[in-house]
Amino acid sequence: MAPHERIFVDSEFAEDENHGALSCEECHGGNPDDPNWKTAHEGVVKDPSYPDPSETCGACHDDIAENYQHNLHVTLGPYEKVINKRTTPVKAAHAKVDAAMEIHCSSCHSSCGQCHVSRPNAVGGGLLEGHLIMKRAPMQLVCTACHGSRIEKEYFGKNEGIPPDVHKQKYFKCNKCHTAEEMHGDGKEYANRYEVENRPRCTDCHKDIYGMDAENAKTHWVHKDQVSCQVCHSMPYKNCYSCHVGKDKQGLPYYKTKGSEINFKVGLNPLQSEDRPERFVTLRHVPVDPGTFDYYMKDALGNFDALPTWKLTTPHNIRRKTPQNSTCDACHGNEALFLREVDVKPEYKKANKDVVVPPDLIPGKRGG
Amino acid sequence: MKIVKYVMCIALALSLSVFLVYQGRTVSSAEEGENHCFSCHTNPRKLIQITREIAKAQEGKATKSSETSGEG
Repeated sequence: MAPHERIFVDSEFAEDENHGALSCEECHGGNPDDPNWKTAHEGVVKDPSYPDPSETCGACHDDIAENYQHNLHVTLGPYEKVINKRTTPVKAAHAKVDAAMEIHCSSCHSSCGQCHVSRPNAVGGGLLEGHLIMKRAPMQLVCTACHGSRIEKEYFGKNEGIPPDVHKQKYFKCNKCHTAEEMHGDGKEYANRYEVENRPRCTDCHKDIYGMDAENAKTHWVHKDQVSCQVCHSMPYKNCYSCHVGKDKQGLPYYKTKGSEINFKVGLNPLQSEDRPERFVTLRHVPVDPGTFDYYMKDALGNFDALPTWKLTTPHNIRRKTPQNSTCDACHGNEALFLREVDVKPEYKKANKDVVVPPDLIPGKRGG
Repeated sequence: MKIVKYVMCIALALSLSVFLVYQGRTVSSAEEGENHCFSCHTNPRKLIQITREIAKAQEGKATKSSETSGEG
């Protein structure tokens, strides 16, 4: 986007029957009577929906705004929770890590405006369609602009040699599965996105997979509650390692990751529950490292091993036929598919002890 | 009597036309008191000029660290 395009307002906005009657300063502040753009912008709020939309969007959309303060896209609550859990349990460490997160992590949030009016600030901002209010956030300018490294590349088939998600080939946009209700939150404070009650489930659409007439009903019944859908139906996906954050000589924040790899690993379900009973799930390596915050404080993540670095994942590159479901023995007895102790880097072994699959739990060959 | 009525009609017509002219001026002066946010942000030419001005003022100032590497 050219710099001027990012702030260009389509005059058609004035004709928007719901929002066009609002004058600019009602939401953004500033002085519309001042012809000098520099002084006119004094006090201007770029995104009046963050951090509190109650006086702007919420004045009309109060039913949505009331859940805003618990919305995962706004709070990034799960990030904070997992980093807190790994942090050395002393005040000084928490203070340092919180300050570092404020610099390096907290800017990666969204808001009403940063989905429906502009691109999120975290990816450079810029008005969508000249400030016309977009009821549905455009997929590539908003959703995958942030969820780019993993979801976008998987869904669009941008990882070399791996086809796109079958739902992409059927022209599904994100909101086909991720509804507005899910995106706006329900007011509950969830520990992670996999707990969200109205999250999409494969069976929302694929209701008949266990039906008498279903083509693979027997296979689905045999594996029900044993493996997640992705274990059979997702393709290899991206795993990242060793993120370190700091500031350069000019004081600008940076992050560095030690590369990434395409892999596919089945491990023990770290979030097993009544709602998610499967024993085996796909796991993705997240880039956290014991030294992530070393720049700010050595050993700040003294409780690093409190959580695995291989986390439950639901990759977005679903295919009906995958290498691992081509035959029974493509999975059964195929040790390389499973997260074994040898697959875990020495510094991460303790953290991953509960998700590594012991040899005796790897299903044996079926001869088929 | 006829003359009085005639004068009154003329006076009424005159005051009505003065009122209408004044109203018209009020409306046009409200239009003239333009909203500079809207007139500027809907004008690509002005925006190009201003964003160039901003870019020039920020020349040489890095906004992102060149040390960032890898996928986020």
